[in-house]
Amino acid sequence: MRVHEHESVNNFLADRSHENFALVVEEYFDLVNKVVFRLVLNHEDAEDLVQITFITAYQKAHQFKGSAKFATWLCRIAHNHAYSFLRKKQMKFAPIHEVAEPHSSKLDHPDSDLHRNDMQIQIEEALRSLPPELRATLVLVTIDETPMDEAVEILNCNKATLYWRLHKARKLLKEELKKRNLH
Amino acid sequence: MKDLNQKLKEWDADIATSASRKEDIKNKIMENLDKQVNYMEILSSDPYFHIHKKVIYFAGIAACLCFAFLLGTRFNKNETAAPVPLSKNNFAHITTLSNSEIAKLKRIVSEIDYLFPEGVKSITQENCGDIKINTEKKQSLDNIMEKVLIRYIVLKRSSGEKKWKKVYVSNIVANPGEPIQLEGDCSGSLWIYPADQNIYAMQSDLKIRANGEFISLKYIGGQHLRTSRVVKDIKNPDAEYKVFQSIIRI
Repeated sequence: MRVHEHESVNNFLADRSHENFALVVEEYFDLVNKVVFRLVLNHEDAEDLVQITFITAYQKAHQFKGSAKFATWLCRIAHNHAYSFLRKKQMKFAPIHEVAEPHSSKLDHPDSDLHRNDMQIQIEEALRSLPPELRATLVLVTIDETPMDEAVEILNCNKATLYWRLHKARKLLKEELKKRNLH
Repeated sequence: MKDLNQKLKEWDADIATSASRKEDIKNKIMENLDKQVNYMEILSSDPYFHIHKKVIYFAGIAACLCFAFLLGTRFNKNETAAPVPLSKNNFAHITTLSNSEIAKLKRIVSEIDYLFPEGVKSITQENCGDIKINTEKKQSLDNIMEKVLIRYIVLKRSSGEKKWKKVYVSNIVANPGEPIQLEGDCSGSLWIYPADQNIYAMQSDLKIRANGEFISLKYIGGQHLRTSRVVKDIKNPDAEYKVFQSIIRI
């Protein structure tokens, strides 16, 4: 059974034109951007991955069966690309939790940390210490309040794994925030 | 003191990409829609990756050899068919590993994980033989959980003898939550999952060939970490067999 979709998605699925996809990008840009940024925690990498996610969705649209929501499918593509990216990064440098973007890129970037307060930066650093899968679970469930069934679909894991990840992520984050006197 | 959820929500609300950047990215997306994208190239476009690929492969081979050697020296120790005096303490001695042995094993497994970033599904070794590394692409991303070593040890005591003999050992490193299929003298399916802080739920349907005998092992239940339990006790007219199962987080 096909789930109810946003009009832009229905139009695009009926006619996979650039014009229709532009409306899909418009509709879901912020969602994908957030999903990816929360995982890679770096604006430059996130921008590349957002592009790749949308291009993949456009090119693989024929594979979308409609059993899950389009947004869920899109998020899953975003997650897969972000995980692949982080794995490559891990392979090049260090364990994932040690991967940190160069600070120069932060400062040079238009969306740099300059306007953010110390608390926000500390929270981001604490989140960075979590493995991406735990981080993804935490933000998806805690911040977005994504229903469990949908989160399971996006993260491609079972419910028990999801609960375990959530529990572990909260525990680790609390410890990390405690170290920074934030909790 | 703010609640954790609240803090995260505030952090998230603060993530922003400027409007002009958004437009730039959207334009790039639309410009590249029909381009054939080599995703792997994009995701690993750093030349460093290509240069080091060979090094990684060589390191992989070296690590596997080290792994084989270390596992071999570790698990070979006391794992020949030497007679074992009958006493409860000796069973514990045979079936458990010391902290330093676990730490060593953990380091080796983490090296193997690092060398196979696509994911290592399981690592098995039977009777000090070849080490099999299953790098089959995982369906889930459960590799974030600490891996678990599941050990099966079969002891045999022939009729009329007092001493037990170790006739089979297998060491299986698996990812919790991920069912694995095993082939070899220990064949079948195995699934393990953390049920609580120090307890793992486990489901197995295995067939172990030990000393020419086939032992069928169906197990569903929980087991505390770093404990060994007898999961099968067979008494034949000519011999007795005990199968020990141990679970160690690594």
